[in-house]
Amino acid sequence: MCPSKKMNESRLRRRVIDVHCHLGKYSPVYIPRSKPDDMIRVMDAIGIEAACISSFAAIGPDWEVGNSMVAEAVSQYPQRFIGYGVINPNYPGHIHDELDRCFDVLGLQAIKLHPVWHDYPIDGPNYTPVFEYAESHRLTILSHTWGNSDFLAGAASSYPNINFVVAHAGGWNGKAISSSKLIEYKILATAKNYGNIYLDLAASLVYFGALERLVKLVGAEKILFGSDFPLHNLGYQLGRVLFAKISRKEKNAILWENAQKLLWT
Amino acid sequence: MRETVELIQESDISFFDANCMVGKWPDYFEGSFYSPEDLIKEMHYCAIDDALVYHSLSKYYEPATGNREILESVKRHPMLHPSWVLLPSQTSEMLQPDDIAREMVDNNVHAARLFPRLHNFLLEQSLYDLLAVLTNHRIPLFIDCGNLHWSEKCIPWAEIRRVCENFPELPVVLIRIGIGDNRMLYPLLEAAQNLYIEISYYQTHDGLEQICKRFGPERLLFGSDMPIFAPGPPVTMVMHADVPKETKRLIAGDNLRNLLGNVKSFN
Repeated sequence: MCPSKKMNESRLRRRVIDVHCHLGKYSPVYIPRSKPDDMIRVMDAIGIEAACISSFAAIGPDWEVGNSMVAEAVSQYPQRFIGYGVINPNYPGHIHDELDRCFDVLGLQAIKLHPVWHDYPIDGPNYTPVFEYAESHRLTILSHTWGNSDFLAGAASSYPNINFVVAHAGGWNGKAISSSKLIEYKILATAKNYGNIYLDLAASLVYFGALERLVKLVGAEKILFGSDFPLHNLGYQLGRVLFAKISRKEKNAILWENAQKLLWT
Repeated sequence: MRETVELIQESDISFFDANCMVGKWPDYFEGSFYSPEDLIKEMHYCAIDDALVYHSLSKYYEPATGNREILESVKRHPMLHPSWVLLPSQTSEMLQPDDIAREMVDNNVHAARLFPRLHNFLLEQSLYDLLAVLTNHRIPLFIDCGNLHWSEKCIPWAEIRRVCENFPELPVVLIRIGIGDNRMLYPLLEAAQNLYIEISYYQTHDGLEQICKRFGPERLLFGSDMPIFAPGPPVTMVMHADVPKETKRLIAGDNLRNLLGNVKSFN
């Protein structure tokens, strides 16, 4: 039976949380209309209830300026945006102060790390105070990369109160190392064995059957919808879930339930 | 949120996929497919009515072999429309340009495709005799530069600009344009009215809307890049684009139908 007919019989209104979004401009790429108002307009049109945002300014040149931009957007749309505080490990003397500012003053709710843009390894010592802070405050950390699976597994054991989110996990083509070279099978498989590791789908390459493979490997309960919006098109990224050959229950878990548990319980 | 397929069914928008392949390929991965029958199954799943297809042998082995094979592959499948992969004429690996064009038209092959990066040639004068013949017959030229990720810088923009300038009547379609290409793409779309883009990988936020507003909706052609990539994302992007329904209809399929319908026969 054509799946589209099944969908017609089971019309439902989905709720969606996007755990991997940004704010502002990204210098290598032209991004039209990426201010908070523009983003809310698109989220409304498509039906995204909440977006977790980090600032490109924070991932790029100035984490303090960028984190303040996110706080402003969150204060403008407190029901729609959830703020990530970005920590740049290259300024070790400022890390504690910025963590306190992000979570005590700015009202941000999770941490975003970008070891590639910051050119600093995720297992380097300057990230230790970040993990310690997140552990004591029971925070979620989304990182662009977690290095190798041994490090991620070790961190998940050492810091049981942190929820570790592996970004860009949606681009997997089923090979040991995908041709995108961004994500390895072993990192993905780690999520299955640790209750506090999750995978975020945001990835520009959407190989045929990618989500079906990922659900088979780790289970839908470990997968979070992420888009990289407004770097990526929100509708395009959502299409990877809407058209996946998985159950409605699994889609709802990925689009809403898992993130809701992670962020609000 | 409405289901995307539901939207398509209610909208009378007819998708025509500009970018599909049949046949086995070297870095195949489990869960994908390679037969024409499976391609059609996936097209039904995503409510795609037609597809322009080339054969993997044309890309990864020898164009002439694959071009013969694609005619066989589409024979029993009216939803599938053949596309031929071409090479510069100087090495005589294919028929001479006039003869190729005649064979294409005789076999209802209404699109040509080049892989300049994979097949190791430049989009320069060595190719111009072939391009002149394609222009005479208004056979659209699809150029696939093999860019996998948007951060790669492998599209020869200056060469493409010269092709567009030297053959202003030749429809030139760039395959798999990505989010990192806009600063190169916009000036070219402005300068060359005969340039089109296939959107299987064009996931710029507000990207379709901006191109429609600045350059017109006829410049955009829906494509999926099946069976390597998933069709759901570009279908969903078109259906949720902030453009009128008539514009969606053009992007989804009518722009491609118009290009393929303009091909001139030999008199």
